[in-house]
Amino acid sequence: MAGGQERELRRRIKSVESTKKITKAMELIAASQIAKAKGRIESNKPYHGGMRRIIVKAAQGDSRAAARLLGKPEKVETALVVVVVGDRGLSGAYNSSVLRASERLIADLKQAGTAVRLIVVGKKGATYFRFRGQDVELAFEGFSDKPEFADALGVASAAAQPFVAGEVDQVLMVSTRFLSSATQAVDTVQLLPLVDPSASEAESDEDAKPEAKVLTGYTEFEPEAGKLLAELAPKALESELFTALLEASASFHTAQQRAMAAATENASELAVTLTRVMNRARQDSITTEIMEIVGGAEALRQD
Amino acid sequence: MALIGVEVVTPEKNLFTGAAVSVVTKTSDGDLTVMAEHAELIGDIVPGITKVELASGEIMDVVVHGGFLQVHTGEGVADDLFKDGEDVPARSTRVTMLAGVAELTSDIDLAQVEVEIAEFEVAVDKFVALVSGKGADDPDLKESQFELEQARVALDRARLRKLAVSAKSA
Repeated sequence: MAGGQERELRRRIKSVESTKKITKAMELIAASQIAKAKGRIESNKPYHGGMRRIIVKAAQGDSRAAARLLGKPEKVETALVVVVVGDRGLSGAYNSSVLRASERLIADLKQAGTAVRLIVVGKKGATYFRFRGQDVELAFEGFSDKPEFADALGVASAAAQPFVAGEVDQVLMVSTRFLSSATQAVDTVQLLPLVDPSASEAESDEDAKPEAKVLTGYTEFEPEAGKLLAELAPKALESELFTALLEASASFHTAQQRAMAAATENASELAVTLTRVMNRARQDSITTEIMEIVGGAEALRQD
Repeated sequence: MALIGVEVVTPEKNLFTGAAVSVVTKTSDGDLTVMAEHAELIGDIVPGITKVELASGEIMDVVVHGGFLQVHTGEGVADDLFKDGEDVPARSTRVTMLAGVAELTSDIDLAQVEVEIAEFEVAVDKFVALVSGKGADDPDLKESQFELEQARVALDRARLRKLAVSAKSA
């Protein structure tokens, strides 16, 4: 019996060690992906920033058109929710926290009497909502690890089309924002109507507000600002979505690295504990054997 | 000739940054040429070829598949776009071109574009047949329509690339 237990433990230790090798490898892969994903966020910054600058300028040029395109809709009868998660798991709470937040959002919307349509990016999201009987209108997958701009174009046109057709009044997006390497947070933002980027910036930076009000001279618009804004809106949506996809992928890799580092540590601990148990079992079996021999010798001597 | 700073920015990378003499592009209002001391301007760029005349006199063709441009004139606004040794004017003009998809004509491989065009033509035909073969209540109709639209956009892009290469070599 004792020898059997020892063999059993040896097998478990071996399996824990090989799991540890896998999680360690995944941790290292994720770490290298984080660096790449961060680089991609950086290279997107000039475009994203330039887009926002142009929107702000054009909105100043035609405030009436801006009021129509930017801001909060007065009444929302149907809302389109875009949920951005990963294609893969093994990333701690990354997927589940986004899914939980979006489920809460959908429940809130429904309670307010708003019909909800759903677009999901990432394999994990599509299966989650389909399993719960929630209709998924369009599901995208296969690019959450390394989103290309063309992928964002596809999602953006799918999100914008019902809005342009007047079928939905608001497009919301739930995704993970990559605030820094240490912090990522699930966030819900309104994609359409576009949120005036200057509004959020002025809020966060009170000092810049009076300066922004001052007109910096005459700006020409080609075509006129109102028409330009209408053209800008879908492009800005693409840019916002692409940025969100990039940040989501960086967050995914960060979450995966963290989860795998924890798993590796747990595996090490488990291996140490199991080794201790195994050694004790072996010692026990040796002690028992000696006792048996001693006991047998004692019995012979009394004869 | 006073130089202007030009940058062509896409979401994936900065395609070009540097000094230039002029930028000739096309907005939906018509052709537009930007040179030094141009007024502040924001405009769109319709899909087509934008020509940048570099400081060396060489003309660089950029294929822009739709985008926007911002012209910004002021003191030191384009300093970061000039290389060392280039004559930086005190008051400079910065032309920022933003495009979702854009490429330098010199980077385009004609043979590859021909293959792409053939591929996308087949794809468009396939999806046209697929969409017309489906009833209005088919749940997959939306997805096929979506894919058809994507294939058409890709085909237009490939054709524009080919046009740009043949216009340059002609």
